[in-house]
Amino acid sequence: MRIEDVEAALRRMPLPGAPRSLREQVARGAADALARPAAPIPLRAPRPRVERLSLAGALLAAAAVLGAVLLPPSRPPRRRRSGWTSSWPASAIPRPPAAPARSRR
Amino acid sequence: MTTADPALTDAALLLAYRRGQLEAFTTLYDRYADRLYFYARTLAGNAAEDVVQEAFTRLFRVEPSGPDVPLAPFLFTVVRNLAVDALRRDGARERAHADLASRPGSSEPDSEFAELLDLLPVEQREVVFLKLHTGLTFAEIAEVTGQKLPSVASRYRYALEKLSGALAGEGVSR
Repeated sequence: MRIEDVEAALRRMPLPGAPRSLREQVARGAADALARPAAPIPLRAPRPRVERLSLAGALLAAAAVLGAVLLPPSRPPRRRRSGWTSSWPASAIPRPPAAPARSRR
Repeated sequence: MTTADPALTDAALLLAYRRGQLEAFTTLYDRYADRLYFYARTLAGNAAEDVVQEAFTRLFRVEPSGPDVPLAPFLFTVVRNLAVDALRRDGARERAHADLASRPGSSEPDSEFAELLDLLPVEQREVVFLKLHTGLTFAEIAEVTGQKLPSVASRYRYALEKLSGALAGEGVSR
């Protein structure tokens, strides 16, 4: 059976109706709310409830954060250029003169 | 133009209700009640009636910013959240989320569609229902359910493959 046929067959199936009493309760509530108007709430889709948080995932995430805080990567500090030369190419930055080579004697 | 006019958008009906036309809300109710009730029952079983009533109660005060603002994602998200809350209140707090993913048939199926959906795990069940009976896009379903878009699409595909076999007479007693 093709997926499109499955979709069509499922769409054709009617849903059972909501109880009649529910309609009356909601209509009564709507009438009451009209009679006692309250401050409107702007329409904004609520955030869906988070369904599942796996324990292993939570532990891994916590370990990663702790690791980053307690054990920062051991990298030699980079030399930073001063602000106004930072846009210059490296070759354009003047360097201190090299020390004269010593002759071996 | 009456509020029963099918060309009126959901938000236009809600705005009409906010201006005092009660029948506009009844029209809105009739558009959504069966689907919201089915969705609530799929998720929360016997608490469905309370869930749907509360969802509509929240809608009373909502003010859309214009007549073209879609209401369906809001309504289905509210019903879903309330259903999860109802499951938690029912003493299944620690199992609520896991339950939602693994619950067997949440109530007696009283339609062929419900009977077929009961063959699926809930996370596939709700995706199939939302896709086929609410007009929501995969992106909107992902927002409503809090899942990632690729997960929604793959769950839908797996579910339809399974239901395809059932419809061909392999899995459902009908």
